[in-house]
Amino acid sequence: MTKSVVCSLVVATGIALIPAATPATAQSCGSDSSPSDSSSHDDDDDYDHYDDYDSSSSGDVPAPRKVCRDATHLTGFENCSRFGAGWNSPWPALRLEVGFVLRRVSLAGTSLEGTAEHEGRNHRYNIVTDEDDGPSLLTGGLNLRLTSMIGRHFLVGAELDLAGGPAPDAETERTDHQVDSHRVVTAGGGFVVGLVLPLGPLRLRGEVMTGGQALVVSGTSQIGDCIVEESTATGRFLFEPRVALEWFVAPWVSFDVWAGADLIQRGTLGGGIRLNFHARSYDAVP
Amino acid sequence: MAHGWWMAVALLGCGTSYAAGDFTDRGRRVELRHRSFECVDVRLQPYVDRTVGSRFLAIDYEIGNRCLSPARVDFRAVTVFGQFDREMAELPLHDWRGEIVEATLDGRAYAREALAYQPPGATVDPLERVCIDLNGLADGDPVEPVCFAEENASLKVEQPQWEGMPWGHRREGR
Repeated sequence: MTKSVVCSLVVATGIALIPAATPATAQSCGSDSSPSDSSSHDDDDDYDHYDDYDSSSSGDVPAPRKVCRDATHLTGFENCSRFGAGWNSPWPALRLEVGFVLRRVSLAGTSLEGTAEHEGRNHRYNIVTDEDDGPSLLTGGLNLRLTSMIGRHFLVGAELDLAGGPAPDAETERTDHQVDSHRVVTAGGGFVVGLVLPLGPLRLRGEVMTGGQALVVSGTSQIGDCIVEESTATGRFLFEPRVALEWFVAPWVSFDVWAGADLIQRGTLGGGIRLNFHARSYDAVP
Repeated sequence: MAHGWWMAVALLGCGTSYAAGDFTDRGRRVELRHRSFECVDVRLQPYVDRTVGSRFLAIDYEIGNRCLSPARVDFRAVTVFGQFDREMAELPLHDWRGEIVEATLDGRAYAREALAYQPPGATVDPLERVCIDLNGLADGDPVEPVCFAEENASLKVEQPQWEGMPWGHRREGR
């Protein structure tokens, strides 16, 4: 099996392993839903691998698989393969990048107001932070990118990130209304363009990410004995210049570390580390 | 999950890729079957394929790219000469499906291809010597041909000689 095929399998595995986002929930008092309805038991650790076999077959015997085998590897006399199969690369130099991201999300000038329904009436609240001169959130999560090199010095692509963290407190209009924020989830994405400077085995990259980000703060709202789950959301644009340093550990695998600052929402900083899988070795740069 | 990730990284990071010297036993001995272009190393061995039989001369090519950038590879540029009854004759590449094209070998990649060559007669049986001119296979300075002589029913590599070979005059033109 060629390295490129192995790489593709690992990439596919990586996509399958990325955990799904848990959507924020909101319910009013009197709802029939019970907490157990929304919970799920993750049995991954107990999962056995017999599903790798064809379950339609009887017993534990795996179903036979059709394998094409040539009697010769001589080009022109093969039935299962052709010249260049596995090494003459017709596919583009795509990069799949998966990593962890840490962000300080500035809330300066950001409105995070919400309403909670109690006994048929809406009650307003406002998420605030304790910091007077720079309200912010600290989030951590996953970053996923699909990029491609163009020539030797340019990179383009798109990215998504999903992060979460502890939420700040909330202010309410009524003294008997208490809102406890549990967590904040951010989902962002956009397009990336970059300038790449090869430095021996390293690549120094300057890039700009342009896109948007949604912030969802969820928690519970309580008035008297009435407790409801509530969430509030806001969106914003991002324009984030970054610097990154990439290091190839193998022709098809590299790591990079990066840091950036949002120019629209001043005070929003980000950084992280990524593991990159390359469809072409060293991105096939000339 | 973390275990799976690190296994994947280990598979890719510790796996084999081509590096300079892989065809020459890391430079500890001279490999007569090996030639080097600017980025591409080639190692070859002619043989008679069991399945196809002696109707064709088969040549097993191993190619490796020492560079980090992709390299052009064109097997159609290789010229093969065989000596039958002391007469040298060119053996054309047998590509009836037209599948052999100019190809790209990525940086540090390794590949292996076996190609068939048509002898002038019905079989390759009276083959006494075969010489392969690899020039044009990849970019770089001209290289000497690789020659094999029949010895005890097998083809053994021998020192290449330009003199007396049918492409000797072409060397000066390159």
